[in-house]
Amino acid sequence: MMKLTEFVIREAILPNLKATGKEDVIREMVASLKASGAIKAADEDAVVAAILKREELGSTGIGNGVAVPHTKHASVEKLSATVAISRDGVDFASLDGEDVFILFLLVSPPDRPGDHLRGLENISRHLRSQDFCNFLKQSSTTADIWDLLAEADDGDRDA
Amino acid sequence: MEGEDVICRQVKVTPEHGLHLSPISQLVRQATTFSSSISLTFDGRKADVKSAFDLMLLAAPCGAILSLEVAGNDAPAAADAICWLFEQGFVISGPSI
Repeated sequence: MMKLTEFVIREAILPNLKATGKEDVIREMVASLKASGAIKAADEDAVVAAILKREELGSTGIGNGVAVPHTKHASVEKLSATVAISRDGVDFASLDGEDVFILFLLVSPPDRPGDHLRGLENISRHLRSQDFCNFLKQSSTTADIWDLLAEADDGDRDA
Repeated sequence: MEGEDVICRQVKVTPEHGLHLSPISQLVRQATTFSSSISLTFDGRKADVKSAFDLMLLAAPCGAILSLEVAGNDAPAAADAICWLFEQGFVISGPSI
């Protein structure tokens, strides 16, 4: 089982997104991954473009106020993700027509397509819980969000 | 319930990477246009086809056979629509994931 804390980059977590539009949100999250060193600066624009292209095929806003934008890119050697919280909500053209408040953005290496599928399954399992979503939305700092992810991982271990 | 049909069929997962987010999105969008309840069962797990989260947690791989159950007034049309998506392999242009 791939733990949340194994692929979410703590330094890239955004507890209070500044951007309000879908594309700008994606740019802000990718910029955060770049700033953390998870992706190369030279690859930032290409990663954003790849994620936006994936969104054109169908929104990754999967409902319940959650979105999981993702792409494969050679900039990473292992699955790398960040979490962002939007206080006001973002129109993500979600499946349920509602705004998103919680976003997990994933970048995975092209030669390991199963990695981000497992990551998405893990994320879905926890985000299915309204309590988990509420706690995430109430988190005001990176440390709060990280502790919540670690607690979710511990819950998996004890299950 | 009077006038309510219940339809059961089997469908096969054909996308290379299994039932991942792209086919899931197509299923949810299609399922939510019908009033009937629609579920898919795999390996003892049952998913509401109107829920992307439920479908993600099925973790159905390529080649998996799923049991489709549709119940409601528009069950025949709903079952046909869902089966059609599986039969045409959720083919879309561009990246598969």
